[in-house]
Amino acid sequence: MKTRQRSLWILVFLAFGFTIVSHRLVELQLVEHPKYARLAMLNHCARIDLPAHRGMIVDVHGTPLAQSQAVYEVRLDGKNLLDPDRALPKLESLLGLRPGTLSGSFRPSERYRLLAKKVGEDAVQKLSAFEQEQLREWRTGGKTPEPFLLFREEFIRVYPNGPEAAAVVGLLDAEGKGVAGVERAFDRQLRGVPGERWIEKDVLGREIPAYRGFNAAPVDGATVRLTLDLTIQHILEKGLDDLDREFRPKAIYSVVIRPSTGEILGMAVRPTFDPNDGEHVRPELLRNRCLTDPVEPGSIFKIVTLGAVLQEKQVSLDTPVNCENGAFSYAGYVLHDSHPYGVLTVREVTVKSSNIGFAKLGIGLGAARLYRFARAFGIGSATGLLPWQGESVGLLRPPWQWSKLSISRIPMGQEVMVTPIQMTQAMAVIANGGVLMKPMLVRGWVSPEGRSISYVAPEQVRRVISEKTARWVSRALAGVVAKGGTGTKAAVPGFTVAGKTGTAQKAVGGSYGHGRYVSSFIGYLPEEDPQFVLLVMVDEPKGARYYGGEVAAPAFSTMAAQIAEALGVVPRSAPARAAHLGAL
Amino acid sequence: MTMLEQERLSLLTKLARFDWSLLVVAMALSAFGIVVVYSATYSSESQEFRNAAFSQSVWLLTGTAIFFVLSLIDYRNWVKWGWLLFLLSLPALLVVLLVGQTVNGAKSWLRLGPISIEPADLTKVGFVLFGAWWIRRTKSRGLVLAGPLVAAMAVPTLLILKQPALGSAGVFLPLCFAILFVGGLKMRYVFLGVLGLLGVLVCAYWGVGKLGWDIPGLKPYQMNRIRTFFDPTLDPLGAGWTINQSLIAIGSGGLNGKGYLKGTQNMLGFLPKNISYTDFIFSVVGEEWGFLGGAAVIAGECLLLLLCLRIAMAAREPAGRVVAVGIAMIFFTHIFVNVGMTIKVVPITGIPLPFISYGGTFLISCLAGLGLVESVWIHRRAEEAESGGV
Repeated sequence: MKTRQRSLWILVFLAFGFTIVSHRLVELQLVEHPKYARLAMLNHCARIDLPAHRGMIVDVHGTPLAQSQAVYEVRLDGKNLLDPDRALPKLESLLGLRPGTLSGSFRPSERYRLLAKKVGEDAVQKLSAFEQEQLREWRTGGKTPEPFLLFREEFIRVYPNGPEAAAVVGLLDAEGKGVAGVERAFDRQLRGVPGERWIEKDVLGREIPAYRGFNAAPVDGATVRLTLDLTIQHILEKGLDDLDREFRPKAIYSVVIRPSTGEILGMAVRPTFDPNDGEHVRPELLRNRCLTDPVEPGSIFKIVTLGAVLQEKQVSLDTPVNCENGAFSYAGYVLHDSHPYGVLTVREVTVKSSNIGFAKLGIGLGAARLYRFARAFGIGSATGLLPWQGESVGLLRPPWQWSKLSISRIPMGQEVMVTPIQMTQAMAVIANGGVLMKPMLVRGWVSPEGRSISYVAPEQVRRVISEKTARWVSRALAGVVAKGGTGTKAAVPGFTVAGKTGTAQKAVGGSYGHGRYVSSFIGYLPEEDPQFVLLVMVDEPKGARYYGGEVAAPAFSTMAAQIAEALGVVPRSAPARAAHLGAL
Repeated sequence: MTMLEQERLSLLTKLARFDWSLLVVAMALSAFGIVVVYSATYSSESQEFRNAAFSQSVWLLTGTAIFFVLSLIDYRNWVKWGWLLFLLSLPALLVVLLVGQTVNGAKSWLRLGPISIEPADLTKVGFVLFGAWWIRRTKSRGLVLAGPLVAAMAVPTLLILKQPALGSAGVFLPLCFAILFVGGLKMRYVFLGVLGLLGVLVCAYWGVGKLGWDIPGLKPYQMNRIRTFFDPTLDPLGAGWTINQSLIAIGSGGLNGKGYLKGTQNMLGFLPKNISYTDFIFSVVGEEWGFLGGAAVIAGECLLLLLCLRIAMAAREPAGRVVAVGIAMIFFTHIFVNVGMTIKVVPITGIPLPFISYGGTFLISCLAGLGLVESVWIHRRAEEAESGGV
């Protein structure tokens, strides 16, 4: 080989080297480009979450039931605290800590020491003022101090009314997600949409201000305005507290509804919880029992039967019914009345709440029609008041599953289960002239800036009975509260009250008569122009009294009088009305 | 010594014989280098970095002047004194070990008043001249040729390893091999050398990469760099950081690049500012100019090497051939190792990219070397008259 040609062989060597490099460059920049482009992006771009403020829950007048409040986490930068011996005791007293808790374990190297969580605005202002004062003092001492307190803002959910309306409002879990009540039902709307900001940062993590990255502002959650009236709610809560003290029942349910619109004005249950202390709430208390717990209604269910027989013109209020002197044998069983009656008119059967009378009315009506009317009154289907609450449909078996006995039991409210909200809705049908309104809890939505963004209109579901029938039923129910009725203790001075007592014996293990009762009263006023329906249902009252007329009716009277006043309902009686109008 | 007798050429004749393509390619690469150096440094916080592009321009002008001077002087004047030039460059390496300035962990720089020089760059050119001198001096094309050259190579290699600058030291081995090969070493010794080199490579790959051997005489951090090359996850924030960031920079550049002055890896400091304008300049090219830019740089360098090899072919006299091939080999080793380390083909060693990287001494050495090659071209005709050669 001529040595001169060896220069050419060097070329082969070079070609080999350049081939390796070029191949790798193709691989890196063309084949694996997406992977590295992503890595580069992750290197210098950072996402900053911008939390959305959760909307408020307010009552019909705008009073807050739930709101988010800024609190602060306070930390101490030990390096910048120049005079710990003097500053630490002051910090302790400002934070309300025992002397020595901070100074005992202070280390200047600890630059991010947690001092306190959930510190309010006022305390933070005091702490800041103290910090500024210290800095000024050190500066005049010839030092160049830097701030030593670090504040981080966070939001907590505050329920200003404590346990009031807790079952309706609900609460949040530790992650800020609604777990019960309105907080859960409208979590998405209340929560809003968190925003994000992309920043570009250099290798030291410093933001590059010139960069205009993707920016999405957070959309704060809307405020939900409920139909609930905090004044009425407060009346309910107090009434239930009194009942709770007096009868120590297993549970109490209470609902106030405006019959003409279906608006829920108040809704309270016992036992209840304080949403401000969410960590210690027993989970079984979280449910809104007015929606989730079916109970055997007993006699208050008779309003459905009465409405049905009058609508079907089976009888009139004056039709006589033989009440068999308190013992009526049907389908092999003997049915008793609490007091023996002879022949009563239908009106009297209602007023006295004769079981035998209602059994006969039911038998006359027939299973199919009774079932149809019960369904029309809303029994056996969910009201849809609030989603995600586990609302029960109650229990209303279709006629083909009924036993021979059923037609004599269901008309008086046995063998059927209703939720408190269903029962209130059924009573509202009668108070509203026979038209069923869909119960509603949300009045409207308000934007974070305070503008009203939507209004929920009342929704008429169906006509259940004619207006005339509704008037007849109402007249009969007025008799219940009038002299000689079972619910005289529900009377409210100055008003005609229509209502119905109920004393349901609880079936335990398939049979009745174990001394457990559900005592209830449901009624409305004024009878001639009903403004609200109030249900009071006491589950298993303890003590000698257990009749609805004795347990629930007095509570109804107290609460209804206060609610009427709160709503500004004009009394019926001439002197009272004159006084009322004069005051206006 | 008749071979060294020179034909007197007039300056005009010399200029007429000038190979302008060599200069044009070198100037184009250097100009692009200044443009990229600007991008790598202008956002830096230190004034010294921000002046880099301007300094490089001054170096380029100086280097160009040196290029012309060396082109027009017959290279054989230098070859005649090659042994001396080489010997003179060695004390500089010693001095740098004693009083040198430490940059990026290596004592490679000698501060002379306002300027810093890196003696190792000059030694490389000196060694080429030494090789050319020895090939003319001896008639042997066997061990007598190879022995002294290999011994001579060992001296600067060991001195530079001591700094320690692994990359610079590593240039001498392929350089020596190329000089011997082109100088006409007998093929059996060539094969022996190739086998030896292959053995070293296999040991490096299997021994160090797979079995975790230590290379004797290397500092722990150098060993780490080599280990990290085989497995970057070993030390993702230390030795592996730079290579990962370089890969991200080049890979994210894609086909067209992110645009001049728009490389995020470069601008935001993910490529360390203190090396992005020197050893990792190719990462900046790859990120901002993409595959097209990177390929263009490689093509430009490749063209330069081809021109050198063409001149080597044209030189009928072995010394000229050795000079042209030797200089080309210096370039090639730098290009391959520098570009290779930024794209993870070879381990990281601090070694600049000819004409592109910032660095005064290196740019001047490169242009000086190129001047010698140009001189070989201009003075070729004289050789053609002498028939036979060696």
